[in-house]
Amino acid sequence: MYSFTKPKPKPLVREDTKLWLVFIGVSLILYISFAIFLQIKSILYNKDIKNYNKEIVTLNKKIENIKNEKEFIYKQKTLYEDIMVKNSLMKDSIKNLLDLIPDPITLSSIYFDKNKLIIYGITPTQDIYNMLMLPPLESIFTETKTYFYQLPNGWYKFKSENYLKEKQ
Amino acid sequence: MFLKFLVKPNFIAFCKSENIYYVLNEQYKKNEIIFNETKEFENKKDLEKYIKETSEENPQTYVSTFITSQNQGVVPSCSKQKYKEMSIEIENVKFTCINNKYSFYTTLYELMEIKKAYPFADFIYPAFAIIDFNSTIRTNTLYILSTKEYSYILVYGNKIPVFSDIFEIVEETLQEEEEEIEEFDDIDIVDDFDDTLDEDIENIEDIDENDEEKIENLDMEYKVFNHVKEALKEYYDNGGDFIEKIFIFDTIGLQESITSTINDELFIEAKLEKIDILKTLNKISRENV
Repeated sequence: MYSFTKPKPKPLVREDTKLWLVFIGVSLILYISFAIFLQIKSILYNKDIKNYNKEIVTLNKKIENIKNEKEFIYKQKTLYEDIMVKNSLMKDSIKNLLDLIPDPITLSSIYFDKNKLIIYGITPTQDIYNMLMLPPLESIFTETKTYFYQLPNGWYKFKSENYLKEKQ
Repeated sequence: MFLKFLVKPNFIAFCKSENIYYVLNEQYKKNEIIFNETKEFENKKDLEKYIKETSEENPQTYVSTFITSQNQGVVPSCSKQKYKEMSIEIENVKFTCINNKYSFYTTLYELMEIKKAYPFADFIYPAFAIIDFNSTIRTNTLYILSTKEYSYILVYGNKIPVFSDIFEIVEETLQEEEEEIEEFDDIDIVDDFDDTLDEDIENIEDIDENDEEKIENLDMEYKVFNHVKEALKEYYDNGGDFIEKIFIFDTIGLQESITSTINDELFIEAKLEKIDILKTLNKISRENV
């Protein structure tokens, strides 16, 4: 109002103050961005820590599972060895048994079980069987039962049931 | 910009009177003055140096001054038509419109001269702005701003200034002195010289400075009174309404007796108010920033 002239545009601060303000501004921006960078890094590290902790828990569970599996495998292995031993024994027993079969007697089938052995076969006479076959069987098994059927040609078909009593 | 609230501008007002530059530098915080300094410089270089230093210290420094010469006036309108009616060449003047009601003008030449003389000035005000800013009653009132060199007269009609006049004081003083000297030339001093005159001369030496000032003031009051009278005559001659009140804005130390003189001689109620021109300029600048 009143003036014939308009004032010249005035800077808010002096030139050197402006320079200082720019420097202070730039350093503040750098400081703040560095602080933000550190904050972000810290957040990321915290996230990583959480993830690693979760991973540790998962891995611990896995270790637990693996331990369980290992124990199971050990058990299987023991069982396997046991079976292997048993099989070997059985194999030996069968071999021994087959060795025991005298020449006149012919076996038609053999049925093995854990505690019993059933043999089907043909013998020329009951005596041959009783003399040559029965004694070794009785020495192995605790109970032996034999059933004979006479065939039309005079030979005998037999069924021998042999049991092993389990040890208490 | 929000930073602007943090920066406190400096307001420098200056005026030239009797070849001395009077400067007032003020700084405000809200409406409270926090710094003020008055300076007087005998040459423009010192003034320029002071303003340059202040501006370097605080770039928000606003410098103002006012036009002292007679090349200014008031027009009770802002329209160019009114200027034509008043025989003012609109091409040669620059005017500032106030409230879309009235305007103050100065010549382009005058403005250019001031801009050339004071390129650091941000605001250049008309002298009448000082009166207009300080005026309280604006109906049929005559205001006179009395300075050492000029008497600025502004007459308000109905709320707006309708008449203005400027009287030069220095010129009149010179004329009067010349007239006095001419009168002295007619007197034969040698013939009249006697012992009595010698005593009188001794008495004159005894007159102290206060008495001299009083005499000067009486002379000034007489001149101011005459200016009021002349302005009133011109105003009434131009068909102006009856003036009810006269305000004298004094910057030179006029005596209160001038009001009774006006009362007695012109039958108009008068009031004398001391004002500080530089302070007023800064106040106007503060409103402009």
